[in-house]
Amino acid sequence: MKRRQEVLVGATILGALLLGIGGTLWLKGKHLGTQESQISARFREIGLLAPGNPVKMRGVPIGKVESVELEPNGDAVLVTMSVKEGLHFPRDPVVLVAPKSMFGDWQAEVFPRSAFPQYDYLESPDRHVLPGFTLPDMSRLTVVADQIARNLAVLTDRFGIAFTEETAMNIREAIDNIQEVSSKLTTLVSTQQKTLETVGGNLEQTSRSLGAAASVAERAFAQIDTSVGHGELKNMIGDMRRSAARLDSISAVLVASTRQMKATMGVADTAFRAVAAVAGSVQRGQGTLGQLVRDTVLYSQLVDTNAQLQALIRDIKLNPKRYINVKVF
Amino acid sequence: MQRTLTAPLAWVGRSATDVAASFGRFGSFSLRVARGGRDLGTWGGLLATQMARLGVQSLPIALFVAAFTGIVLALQASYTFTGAVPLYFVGVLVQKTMILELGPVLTGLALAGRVGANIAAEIGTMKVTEQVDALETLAYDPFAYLAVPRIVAGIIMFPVVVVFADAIGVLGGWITAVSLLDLSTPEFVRGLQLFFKPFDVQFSLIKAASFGLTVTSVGCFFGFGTTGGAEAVGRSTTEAVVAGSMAILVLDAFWAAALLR
Amino acid sequence: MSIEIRDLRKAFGPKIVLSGVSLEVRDGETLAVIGSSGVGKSVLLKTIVGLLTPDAGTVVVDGREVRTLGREELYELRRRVGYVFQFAALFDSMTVFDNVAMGLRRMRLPPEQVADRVEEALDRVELLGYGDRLPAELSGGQRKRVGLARAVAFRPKYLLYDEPTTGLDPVTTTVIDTLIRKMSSDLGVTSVVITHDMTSAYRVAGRIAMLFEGRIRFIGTPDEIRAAADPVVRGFVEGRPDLMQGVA
Repeated sequence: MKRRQEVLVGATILGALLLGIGGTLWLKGKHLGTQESQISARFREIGLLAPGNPVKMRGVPIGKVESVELEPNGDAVLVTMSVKEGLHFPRDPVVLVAPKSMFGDWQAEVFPRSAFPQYDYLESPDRHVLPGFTLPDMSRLTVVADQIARNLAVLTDRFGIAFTEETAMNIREAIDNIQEVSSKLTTLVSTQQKTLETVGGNLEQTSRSLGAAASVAERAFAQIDTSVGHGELKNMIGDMRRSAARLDSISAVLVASTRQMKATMGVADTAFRAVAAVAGSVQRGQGTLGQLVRDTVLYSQLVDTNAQLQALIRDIKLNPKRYINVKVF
Repeated sequence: MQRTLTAPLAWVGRSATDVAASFGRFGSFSLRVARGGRDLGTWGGLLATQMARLGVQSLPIALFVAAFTGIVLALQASYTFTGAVPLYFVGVLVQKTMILELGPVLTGLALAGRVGANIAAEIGTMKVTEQVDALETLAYDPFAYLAVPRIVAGIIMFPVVVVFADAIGVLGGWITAVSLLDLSTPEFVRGLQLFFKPFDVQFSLIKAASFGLTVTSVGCFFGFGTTGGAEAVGRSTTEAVVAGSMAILVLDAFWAAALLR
Repeated sequence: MSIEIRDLRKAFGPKIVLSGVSLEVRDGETLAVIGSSGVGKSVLLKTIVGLLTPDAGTVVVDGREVRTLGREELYELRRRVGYVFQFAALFDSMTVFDNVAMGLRRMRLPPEQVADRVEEALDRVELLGYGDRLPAELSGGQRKRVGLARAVAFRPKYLLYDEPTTGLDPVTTTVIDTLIRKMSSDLGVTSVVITHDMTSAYRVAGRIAMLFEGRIRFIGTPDEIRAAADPVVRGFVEGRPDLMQGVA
């Protein structure tokens, strides 16, 4: 009787041990008998990546994150991963860390550097530690977009201040002055022509050149004049304002709703195109407008913003899935 | 008049004294059990019997509870997640809820009823029929002879039962997910593995062991505290189940606060 | 050496049970303690083996005060004092053999010796061959006899009987009383028998003590108690409550 009980208890405990250990290993995703090797990568920061998150290559799971450690000096994070043994990595491999879904599960994926050369991977002095980069998650992206929208709003305001009626008058006056100078020059040359007939050949050429230069300048200024006069600049400013407002609303939409992501993508696309067009037309009038306005800060800010926007648009176009149209479900 | 006014105060005072006295009694009970624990010669030979009674014989009820809990978890998860969350999260919910919470707690509550009541009734009966005194006169320490093997068996066997309960619960959820919901085995397993940490299992076992300690100790405490006749045994049994269940819920919150933050 | 009780006091909460009991049990005698139910006879008996701790007073067994004994010393004392419980207090889940063997196993005797001594004890109470039965399969008298066998298996020096004949029919009562006398003569043990059955008391006891309102009211031989003039004693002995009323 007692012996039977002892056997029963022993069998139950043994069963529980096997079940507990086996079940833990299975749930951990470890399969007994599979050989594994370790790889490491270095990051500036790692978002929400945690031990147990999947490691992928070409979208296929190849292992798990084993540990995440801050380096002793606190400058970088070392992520150790266990992956199936005998895998051939691409040439010059890098590790990208990104959110996998909206639910806080992250993943690490191995790519050749050539796939995304634009990222600033954190190199390691140790050859065996792969360079890594962590993509921003949704919330960070919205923060950046919000920042850009604010910059644009400030810009358009300053545009409005710079192009008052007075500025337009000043521009017109300056152009008039230049016209007067050039006509005076022409007059001067023609009066001198009679008295200095001997030197005529050379001088005549010079004066023609001067005349041509004056007319070129005139045409350029006339263009600006019409721009200012016909309200094209006002339209441009208006466009900028609207774009900024749209960007603002995009940020709000991004934060508030993830379901309308596809619609948002459409809005974002139009908005970014409009901003790009505005920025482009400003850039084309670079020489004259830049000098005339004489506001280099404004100018450089515009250029910066433009570059920022271009980079953002390029990123979004390059990785629409990862940035905007995050595949939620 | 004055009596009516002071009655609530007297009640508070009496309750406080009673509570303090209970803690005091439980303290001295614990001390005696701890002293009995050193008497390995007495309780060592009784351990296997108690492990079989408290553990192995509790498996059917624990597994029954766990299987149905797993089924309900899977169904409720899919009902809640409809349209908003991917269905493989059913696996996540079943795994997390079963292993972290319901496996140990429901098993603990079921065994508080079965084991706690059994211990309190048995020791209570022995107390009122003077069998506990008889042990004393035969030079046995009743705490070493009755309490220690039960408590040690509880600490060892509750985790064992909970491992099976966890597994059966997950299995129940799995079978439900595959047969009643539009979920395939790979999807469910993906959900199971998604947020799994080995610590979840440790947490489950730590809880189970503490529940085993509590349920058996409380059962012994009320059993030894029985004075009077058959009615007193009934009262002790009820008190053991109620106190054991409450202790489990409090401990559950304690472990969550202590280990899950 | 024997049992000496001095000025023993014990209360349970507000209820005073013993208020200064002094009693000496002489070597080799059988002393019966009589008294009404609930007067504290069992309490008195339990303080002798340390099952209850007195509030005041001393119990000295073989020259050692029970209250000052350590746990091991107390167990050692209990091996010298067999205790027969009111309702036998057999362990329900064990066979008769295991019940009787319990105390012997505790002494770490080899199994053959345990078996021999269990046989011997069962033989003394005339229950040879009942070893495999469970307590539930026994009659009330048989259970008491197993309880007695369990107490004598240690070969104790003292035997304490708590109401050994309560709830038994007259024939069985006689059987038990005969056993008590036989233990006394065969083993030479000193016995204390608690009872409220005067027939039993006269049959087994050399001296009878009466406990009344927390004190020993009377102590003497059966003949002396028969001749006692104290109305309380007479009332109890003759079963006449009218005599006891109004006397303290």
